[in-house]
Amino acid sequence: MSVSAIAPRRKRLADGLSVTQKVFVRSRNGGATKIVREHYLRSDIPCLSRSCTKCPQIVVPDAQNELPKFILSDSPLELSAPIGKHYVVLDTNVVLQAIDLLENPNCFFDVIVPQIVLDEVRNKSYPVYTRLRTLCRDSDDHKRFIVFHNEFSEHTFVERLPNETINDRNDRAIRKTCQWYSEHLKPYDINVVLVTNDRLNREAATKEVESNIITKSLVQYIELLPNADDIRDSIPQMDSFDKDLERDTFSDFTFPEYYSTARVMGGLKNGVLYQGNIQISEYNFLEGSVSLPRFSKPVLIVGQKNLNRAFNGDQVIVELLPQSEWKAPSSIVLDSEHFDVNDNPDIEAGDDDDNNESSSNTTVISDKQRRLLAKDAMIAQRSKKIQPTAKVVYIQRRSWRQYVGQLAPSSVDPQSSSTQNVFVILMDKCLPKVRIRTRRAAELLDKRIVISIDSWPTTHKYPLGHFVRDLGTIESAQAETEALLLEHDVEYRPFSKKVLECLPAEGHDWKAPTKLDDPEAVSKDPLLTKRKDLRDKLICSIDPPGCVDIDDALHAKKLPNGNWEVGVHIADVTHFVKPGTALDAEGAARGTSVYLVDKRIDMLPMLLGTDLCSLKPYVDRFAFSVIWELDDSANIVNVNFMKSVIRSREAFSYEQAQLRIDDKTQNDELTMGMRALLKLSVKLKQKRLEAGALNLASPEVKVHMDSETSDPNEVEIKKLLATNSLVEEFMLLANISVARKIYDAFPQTAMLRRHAAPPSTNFEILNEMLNTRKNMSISLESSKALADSLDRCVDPEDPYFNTLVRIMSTRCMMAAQYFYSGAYSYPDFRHYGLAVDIYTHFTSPIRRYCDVVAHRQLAGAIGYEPLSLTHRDKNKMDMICRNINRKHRNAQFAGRASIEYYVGQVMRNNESTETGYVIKVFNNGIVVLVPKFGVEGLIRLDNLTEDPNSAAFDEVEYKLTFVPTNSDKARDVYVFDKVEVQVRSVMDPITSKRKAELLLK
Amino acid sequence: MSLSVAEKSYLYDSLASTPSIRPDGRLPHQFRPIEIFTDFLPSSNGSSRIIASDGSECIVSIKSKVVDHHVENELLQVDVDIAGQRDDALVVETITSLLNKVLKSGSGVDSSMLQLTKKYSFKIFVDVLVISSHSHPVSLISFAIYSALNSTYLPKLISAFDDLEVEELPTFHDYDMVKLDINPPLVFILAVVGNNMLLDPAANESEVANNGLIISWSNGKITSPIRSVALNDSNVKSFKPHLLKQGLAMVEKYAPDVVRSLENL
Amino acid sequence: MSRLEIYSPEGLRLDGRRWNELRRFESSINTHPHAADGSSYMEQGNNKIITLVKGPKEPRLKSQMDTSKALLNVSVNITKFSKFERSKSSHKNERRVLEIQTSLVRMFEKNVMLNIYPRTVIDIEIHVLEQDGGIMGSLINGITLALIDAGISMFDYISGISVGLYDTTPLLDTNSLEENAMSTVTLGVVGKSEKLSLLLVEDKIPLDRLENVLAIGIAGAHRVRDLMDEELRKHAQKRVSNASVR
Repeated sequence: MSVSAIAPRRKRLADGLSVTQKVFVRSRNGGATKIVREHYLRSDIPCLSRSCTKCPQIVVPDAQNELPKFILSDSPLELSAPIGKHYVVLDTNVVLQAIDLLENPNCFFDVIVPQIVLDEVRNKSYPVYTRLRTLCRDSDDHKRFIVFHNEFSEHTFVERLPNETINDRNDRAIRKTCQWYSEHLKPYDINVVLVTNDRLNREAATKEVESNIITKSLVQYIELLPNADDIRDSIPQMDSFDKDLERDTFSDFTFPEYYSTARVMGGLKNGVLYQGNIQISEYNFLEGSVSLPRFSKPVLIVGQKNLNRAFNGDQVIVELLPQSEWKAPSSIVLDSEHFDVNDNPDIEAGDDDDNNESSSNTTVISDKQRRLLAKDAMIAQRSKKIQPTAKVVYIQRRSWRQYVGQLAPSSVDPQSSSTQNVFVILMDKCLPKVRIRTRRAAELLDKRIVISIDSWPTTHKYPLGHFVRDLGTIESAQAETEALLLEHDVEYRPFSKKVLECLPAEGHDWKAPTKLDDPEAVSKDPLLTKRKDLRDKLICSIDPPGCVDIDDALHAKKLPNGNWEVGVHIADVTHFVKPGTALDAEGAARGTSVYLVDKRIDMLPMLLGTDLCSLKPYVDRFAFSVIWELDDSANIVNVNFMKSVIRSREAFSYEQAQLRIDDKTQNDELTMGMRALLKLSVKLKQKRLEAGALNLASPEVKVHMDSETSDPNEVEIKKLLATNSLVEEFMLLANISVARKIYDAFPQTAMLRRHAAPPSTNFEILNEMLNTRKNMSISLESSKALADSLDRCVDPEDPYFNTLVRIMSTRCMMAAQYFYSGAYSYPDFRHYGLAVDIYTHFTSPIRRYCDVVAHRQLAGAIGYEPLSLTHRDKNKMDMICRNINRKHRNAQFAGRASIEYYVGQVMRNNESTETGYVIKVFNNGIVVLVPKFGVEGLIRLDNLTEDPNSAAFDEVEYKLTFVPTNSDKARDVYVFDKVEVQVRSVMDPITSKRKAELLLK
Repeated sequence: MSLSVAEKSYLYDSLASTPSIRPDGRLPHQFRPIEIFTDFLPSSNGSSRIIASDGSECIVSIKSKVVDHHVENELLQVDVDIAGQRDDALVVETITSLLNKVLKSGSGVDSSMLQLTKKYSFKIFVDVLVISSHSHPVSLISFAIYSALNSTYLPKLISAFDDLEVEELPTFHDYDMVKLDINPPLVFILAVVGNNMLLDPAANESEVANNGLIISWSNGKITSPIRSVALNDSNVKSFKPHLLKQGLAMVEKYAPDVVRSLENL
Repeated sequence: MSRLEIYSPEGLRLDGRRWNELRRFESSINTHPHAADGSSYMEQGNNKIITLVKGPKEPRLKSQMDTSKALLNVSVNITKFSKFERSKSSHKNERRVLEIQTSLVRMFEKNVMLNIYPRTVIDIEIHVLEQDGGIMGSLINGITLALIDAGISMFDYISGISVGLYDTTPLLDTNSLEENAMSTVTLGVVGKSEKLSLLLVEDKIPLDRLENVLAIGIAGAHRVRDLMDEELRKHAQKRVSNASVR
């Protein structure tokens, strides 16, 4: 017998306010707790329609004493009868499936989101919830989305009926909302249309006796719109659309079903299932790995069925496969665009090439046996060759977002102008192709397009998605730049009006007050008196040529006692970016500026970055200064922090600064100061290297643009001057000093940056390659040992070899990360690469949000102004850190991708022969790095030889033997070999992606 | 409440006479009026509050927890808290152990009713709070526990029952609850005064009683434990065996009525 | 991290209240006439509290006697079943409970005219049957009602209320969900005055926001006082009419 607990009574408290109880069971980790919460119902929840005359009478102001805004238009979109003028009410399924469409500026106006829908969306997908909320917040004039709190309104609240499922109850609540609205708005001749993809909900709406709600499915509604033609392609594809057709015809390919939540929870708890993020191999899209805390190495997942629809980066639950299916990591290269090229998007045929995959073991394995298996697996990982493998049994969290790609030409019928199924090949080669339905296939054939993924039913070999928009023709600079910004999740839209409103009203005319005690200025900024006037110091800035956002400036002065006063002055961004403002929120969301070859995406609006905050020469600027007293061997005697006003005397480029220092004829005070800085910086660097700081390398190149056509025309490896290191050393010193100070003041929430020591497993392969090929090794005992052993990796015949080892070591290192001090214990604060115990980022607040936080915390620490609560709250700091870590990583990737693209464009014009180094050897190809262009590329076996079958791969020696084309002598290629390669840029005929193609000479 | 020697003597004589004359005019098997409320603690799975006419009051909460019954074999636990007494006071410990014995003994609560899956069961926590009591509270408490358990609803399992080989964590319905279907035992207290047995002795009656009897009742019959209990610390005497028989007969006769009235709450 | 809408852009809280609204407040006095000299039962939201006042009475130990004034004791019994998850410990000797008891004693010592009951002791016994946030405020209200029922002289009502601060919005009478998501303060306000006999801040709260928080807290406490006053008058009226019938 199952009964719901006694229906809670409703109690009237006052006019228009009554209370009831919400009773439910929270089942978590196998437990079940009865939860009771009060639930208040009220009569003052407005409909927010501009035409309504009743609701403005009942509204009450909020805590800020503001009344709700009536947003829904009084003359909404009119469709043919019986709909007429109408508002739209959304169901949860429509929001979850079609949030892109809701955001589309050309459809969906005057939309009511019932609170219950908002709640359901939040529980199912927080990102979609955030987008919906943003839509409601920012859509005042144009889209007009509102949230109606139906659960709190006594007119629309519905009690769950006995034995009614919660979904049915919620659907009924939505219908009740529609009904209330349609009655409420009847006098104003406005209808309400419920858009839902739930057939049962639509049927119930027509069945209910008293209801007269109009319901439409998403497709039906779109078809009614006057501009349906433009929108139709963006309708998401769910399983149900054409399933009848497919299920019957082709059912030979199916993915295994996911496990039930109960099984997943039970398995996780008793240790037979594991949770982790899946990483798809860069070289083989049918091989992934999952790092699990209990295993020393990532566990392999091989093959389509074992990957079971997981996307790169998804949070998945895996189960180990039986020992008979364990295998060595494949040394085959496989990418999705060349795999099953001939699959027809209209059919879902599955060729059974994966017969060695887990043929779903029908015998039940008990959890006890599974635990034994896990033990064997851990032992196996210690040995070399055979690795435990696993299969994905559940997807905890999808990493799905919008993806950029292009249509696979082979899947398009260019003649047809009707809707057809086509494949989209995504830019990220770790991802499978996506099937979309579009009417404009022919038109989109040579375009970069954005698509969204909707679902991946078990019966489909490829995920289903829908078209979102096109970015422009492939290879056009604009389309490619936008594509790579989108791919790396970089927010590049112009700053919104709300953000720009936070800037000083004076705009470019803003001036630092000439006198810090000027009563008029003080009345505007009471903190002004706490600033220190440093305009008498001889300060200058040194930056890359053409730099407009000058974050930092320096000065040095000899003190009477023979020591040096050295100051680092950082742009005082937090004077303009106050916590809690829209400007601050935007900066926090962007996290960092992104530097592309031809474009900079700012974290903060231009006005601040390049003018008001930028420490430009000859004008007064606010700064945050760190002033040390250093002795002759650059030991810190004393340090002081202060907000200040400064005037930079000169803005040098690195080269200009170098020239000025080297010019013996210049002996003015400024130059003397710069020389002192240089001298001190050399000592600082010396000390740092002695402590074990690493000197790693990455193949960084710079693309020169033709100044007139702004076409890229030359690639150059970045040069380093002594003045680069001058600035760098003092910035490091400032960061360290600030880190200590803010950690001292805020031991739990100080914004810091750490760099963990690399686990030895990361270096295993590199060390083995070095050992076999060069009889060298890299020591991992400490950063000092690592630094020293890197210095020893020298090939006397090839000066570049050392750099190559450094580049490859860099790839084995852990990524540095931002964190708040409460998240780790002090010994783990260590920055391995810099060999310091504590570190933060303080010196570039114009382009990094970490620095903004560090500035505020430092200001709090020195008593300049109280620190905002957001930076004193662990949870909020955790959110900030997570976001800026992600944004920082994305920005780096975006920058690299941009360089890669432009390098490709340069090479397109000049084909050449260059020196390269073999850095990886596979069964069916080698990877070669070309230092001159900083590119690396795979050379497939097919391109090395005409007879791939004669090739031999030696795993132990890292050797590939083959008979080169146009030759009859076998050739051995080892890892680290220096080879001559022909470099050219080619367009892949299948994917129309341009990339560097290397050919061995 | 303390009575003078004269009062005690008068009271004893009237209670011991045949037929016995109780100061409030009750017959020997008659209970004083009691009030019981159930379900007044929404965050517990079951609850009851019992108030006797002399102001004795007791509150019982039933809460549940999912446990692995291979690890935890006690599926029912009674905790008693008497206002003004420390947790380790003798009276608290005696009553706690008595109630645990009553509820767990063979004919007490059937723990198979609490089983969820092959691995997991509900564990029931019975928390008793005695706010005030003037005579021995155990009978009152057992009535409260009875009505609380009878109004208990537990979360409804929706995952599979067979979870031994392939382990699943039990998951539950978000809203639906299932009524707990067990027949908890009741405890009766009788005072022995002379050759008379009196059900539900009041405070003053307890004061002069020669002895007390605790008799448990479960599923329509008398069960263990049956024991004697001192109702005061000045007048305790031994009692004749036929009185025990008389007491058992009395409980046998009137317990079904009590059960019926508690069921019909 | 809490992903709930603690205070929605539309100005509604998790349970549907607005920022300045009290929870359901129901109280009754003289609920345990046989068990104590004064008693009250109150529900503030889902807080359910029984308060018993025993005294003024002769102390059990002569050594506890004060010849100039009455001795006030408060014992708070937070039952094991008072939260959703049953707790294993009985909370009796927990530091937090001892602190609550001490601060309640200190607070009521100043507001009860102890000097007119010399050589006696007043025991206050509280049972928390259910709790859902803002418990300290409810304890204060329960004690005030029970003391009045016992006929013990006080200078004025003391009403208790908690206020949370969510970003910049003060939220009156926080429940447990809200309490877990933000810092809260508890106020004990004397009568209709702006005098605080208790200000309890157990978390960080920016100084520049405190004034706002206190203002709404005091207003809320005054409403609680009125609700208690109303209940007392109703009760008194009933008693008077009962007496006159007899």
